[in-house]
Amino acid sequence: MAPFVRSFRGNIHRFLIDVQILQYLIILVGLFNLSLCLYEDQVGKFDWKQNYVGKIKFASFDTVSAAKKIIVATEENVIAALNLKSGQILWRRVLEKGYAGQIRALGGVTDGDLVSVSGGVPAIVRAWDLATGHILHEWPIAEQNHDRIKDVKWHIKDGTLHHILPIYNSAVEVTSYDSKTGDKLKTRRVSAPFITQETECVLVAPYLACLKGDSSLAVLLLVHLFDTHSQPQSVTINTIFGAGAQGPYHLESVLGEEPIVSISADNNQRKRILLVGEVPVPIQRDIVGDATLYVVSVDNENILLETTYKNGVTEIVASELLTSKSMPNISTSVTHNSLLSPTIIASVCPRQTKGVTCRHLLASEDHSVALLQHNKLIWAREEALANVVAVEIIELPMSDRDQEIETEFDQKERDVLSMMFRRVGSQLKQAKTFLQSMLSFTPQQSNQRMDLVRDKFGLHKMIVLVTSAGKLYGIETRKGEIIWQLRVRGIRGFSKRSDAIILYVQRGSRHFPYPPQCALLAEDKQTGEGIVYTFNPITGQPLDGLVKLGYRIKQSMLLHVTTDDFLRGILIFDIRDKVHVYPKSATAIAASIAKNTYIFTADQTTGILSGYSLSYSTSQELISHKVWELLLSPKNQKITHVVSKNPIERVHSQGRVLSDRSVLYKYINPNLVTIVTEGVGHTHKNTLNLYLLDAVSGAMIFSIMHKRVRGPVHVVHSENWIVYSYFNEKSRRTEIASLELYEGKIQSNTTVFSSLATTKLPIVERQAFIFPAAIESMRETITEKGITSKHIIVALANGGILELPWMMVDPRRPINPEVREEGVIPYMPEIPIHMDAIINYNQSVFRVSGIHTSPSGLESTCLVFVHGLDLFYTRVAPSKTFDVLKEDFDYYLIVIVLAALLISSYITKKLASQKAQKQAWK
Amino acid sequence: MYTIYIFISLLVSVSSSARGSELDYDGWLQLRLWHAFNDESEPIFVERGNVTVSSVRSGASVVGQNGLLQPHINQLKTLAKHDGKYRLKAVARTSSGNEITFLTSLPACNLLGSDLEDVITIWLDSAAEPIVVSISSPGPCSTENPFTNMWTTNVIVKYPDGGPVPDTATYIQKLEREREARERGEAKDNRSFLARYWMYIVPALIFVVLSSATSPEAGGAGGSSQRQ
Repeated sequence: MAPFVRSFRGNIHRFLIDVQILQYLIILVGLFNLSLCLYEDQVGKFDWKQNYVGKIKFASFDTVSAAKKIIVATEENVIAALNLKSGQILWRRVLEKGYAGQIRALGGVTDGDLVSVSGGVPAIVRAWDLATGHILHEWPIAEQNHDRIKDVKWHIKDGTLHHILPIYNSAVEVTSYDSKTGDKLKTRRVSAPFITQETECVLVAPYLACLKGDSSLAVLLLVHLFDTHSQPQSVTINTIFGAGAQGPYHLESVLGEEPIVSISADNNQRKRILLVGEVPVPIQRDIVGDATLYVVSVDNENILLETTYKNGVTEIVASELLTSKSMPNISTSVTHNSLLSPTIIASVCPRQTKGVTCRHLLASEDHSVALLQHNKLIWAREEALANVVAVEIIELPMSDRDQEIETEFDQKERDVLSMMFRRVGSQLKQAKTFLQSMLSFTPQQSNQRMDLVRDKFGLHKMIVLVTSAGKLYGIETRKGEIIWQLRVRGIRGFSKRSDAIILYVQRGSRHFPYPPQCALLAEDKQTGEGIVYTFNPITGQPLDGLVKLGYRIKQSMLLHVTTDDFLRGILIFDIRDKVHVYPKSATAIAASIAKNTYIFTADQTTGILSGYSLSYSTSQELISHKVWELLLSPKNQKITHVVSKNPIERVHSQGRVLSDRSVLYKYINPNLVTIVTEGVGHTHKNTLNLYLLDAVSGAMIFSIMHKRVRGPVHVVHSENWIVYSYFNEKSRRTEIASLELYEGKIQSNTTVFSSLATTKLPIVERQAFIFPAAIESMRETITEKGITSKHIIVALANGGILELPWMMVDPRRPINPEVREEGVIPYMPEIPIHMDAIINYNQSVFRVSGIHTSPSGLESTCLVFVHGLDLFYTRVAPSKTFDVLKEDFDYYLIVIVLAALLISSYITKKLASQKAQKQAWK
Repeated sequence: MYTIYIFISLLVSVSSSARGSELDYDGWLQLRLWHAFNDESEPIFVERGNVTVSSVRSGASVVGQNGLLQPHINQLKTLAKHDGKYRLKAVARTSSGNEITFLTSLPACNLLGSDLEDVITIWLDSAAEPIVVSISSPGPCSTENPFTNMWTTNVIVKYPDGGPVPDTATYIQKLEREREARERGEAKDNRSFLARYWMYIVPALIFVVLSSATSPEAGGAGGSSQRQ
């Protein structure tokens, strides 16, 4: 026994020594608990994903394979196959991003092998398997003339790829390659001395058609590309149009199988077509200028399809090409919501037992794609969603019943009598609906869908999306269903701000009976002046419609105060530094807070950052004056990011408790802005500068410089920390650096932070980590009260979305932990990527362009919406769902346990008193 | 007639030489200062003085400026009463010959409260070009006459810190040390696995037993044991 006791004592001693190891162990276990994994049966329960391909560039019907499909190549550098019947993606291949993956030609589908040419220098030729989308062959083309890659025309026919380059004032060089092996087959030079830099040329295989001259003497020249001995044929404009046609002329090749060009004249009022061949045949018939043309062959007969769009009606008129005889059985006219100035990009008319049925693939102006069979729209795809530029997540309105209660207790009128009337009225109404339901009357139709109401935990919301095509969508979060869509015509993103469109929520859905209101800020396509478009984000109804502002927008801001009808005005700053308020009625309220209103602007081209104060405003007019100005010299650096904090963010904890129980106070400056610049020029190339600037006082807070690193840079700025990622050129890896700002052990002002009164610079903690993956986008989670710990949602290039606890990139992670702080993990240079922390499990998303996070009604839960080529929505709980009971919570067990405890305590009490009594008798 | 005072303050503000070494270049910098006290949106600038930074790396500077005239002090007081801003325009000339204009401001009352004591901070970028000239004053806010009409100006020159790099070397050293310590420790300790780690295993075991008792499958078993 004694040795055991001794060993026991020794163990206790050891235990006390090894407390540190135990702490590590606890932290390790804690880390595992942090990652909230998904069970198999929960797949798709909280999340959804939608796949898109983008705006169609080339399309072709695959009628060769057993399974009929449509092959498309898009502006987003995607090659995909779509199901003919449903429009679903059968396979999709995402090529390189940007210029390197730009698809230049697609062909060979009719021969049963798909060949694509993509990229710049060198262009990459790929042969694809039509059924599965696998790459069969891949080879690069060594380009001789690097600067003329955009003039190169490609022609793919019978397994041969022709690289066609017009050489000015001399000839056309045609180089043929075997499209599978890449062997150079032949190089020809066809004499064409008339081609100059200004000549407009189109490829109508096997000819190259060029238009020379502008006036009535203009000549159309046709060069046969594969016959070196032939002479260029020339057709004068007068033989095509007859006399009296006015320039300027515009040459276009007509899509389809046949070599046909169309020439438009009279300022695009009318056009005529020319069948190119050994003897060119002009068709002596005027076609309206805005019709788009396509030539399809039916039973070896060529048919011209003219598509026009007027007042929502799409009309396709078919006529025989040579005789211009109209073919009413192929002509159709269709009215559908998802068609907007469509053009036929692919068409096929097979003869079936019932007769000829045509299928047309239509691409609309708003990037949507639709398949038209005869006169029925089979399916439509909203491809505009592949290019989302602005996102807001908005709460749904209350149900009708809740709204009635809300009206009943409306706080606006305080008159006793009217309040009583209102109450009685509402109770009568409730009684009526009750009686109706008792007598099983049909309830009157509600003006909203029954399921589009706010739920208990605020998890069901509406996502408002703005796309680069100027189309807006409302998507509900439960299933990802598109509830409404709106087209705003004639707008574009701010060209100075890389085509960004700004979306503001002016009024949420909490202010019944006022409708929720969103405002869109963009540029007019023609004039470049600002526009405001207001709409209801729940129903998609336009409110004030499109308002042209008549000035160019430099900066804008949503006011934090509301007017009497709970509308938050928008402060707009024009390029002449004049301040406007939208709507006008909010001017007075804006002027009342003008004393403390500051605006700052950053100009990427000049590098000037300026701050303006509105303190000299009167109640009628807002007057701005410049209070600070600084210059990030464009000679040395280029501003790439200006990142401020999320305005709805709340910081729950003011400080951080250290191991010695003292508090380190956070530097929480709501006016702090992160500015990232990348060095330019020879000496400063590959440097990255990060500045922290107070946008109110214009004071620089901190600046840091990284050498030998380059973008892409992603910045997250929240609470008192900044996390940013970059690529380290020297070590060839992605790194994440994090900064954390502290005021110190004493807080300068405990109640409110003032940029003008605080002059002390914060303490900046910093640390860098190796990140073993390429990053596409980053965003922090946000919750309603900010109690839940912050995680960073990182979109990886491999399609995963990682939920990275901020604790992992905490700059205070100690390298040599002597005294341990609560919730601080010892430093490790590399951040591990746990597969459990990939929130989209196997639902990979590609080309992520942004992540939007939004608080839900639950403090623990944050809604995450990822957009890019795909849309993905899910919810995350960074500190686990501490405020909800589990779904499989055993209520019975807890009742039984409680009852048993109560009974047993009662019984033991009884027994104890009996025992005490017995003791007393003894 | 007012006597012209020339106030020179010299301040070296290099917080640490280690951070100073981040700057590859050294050069001089000259600031000409104009200020505006008028309570209007358009400033009317009058000359205030100049600052010469002889070496941007060391931050050594010479300030030459006139004292404030009484009308200016009165203007400053009116500005402070209306919660207005004192604006300062600085035109910087660098050794490379560039001329850059900066604008900065601070609440006028802070300037009066601190008796015309202010701090001019010049931030440089990695190429030693000035990017920000900002003025600040500790305060407190006051609209009273200042004790003096002379400026007490401190000039601080700041440049970017070097960015952090992942500290792999220290970490590897630490791992090495731990490994060595473990090897040394292992030589002494040759007890069995259970004997060594029972104090960790037992609590874990208890924890597992407890958690399995509360899980729904075990709930039935727990219920039956209650019945007994």
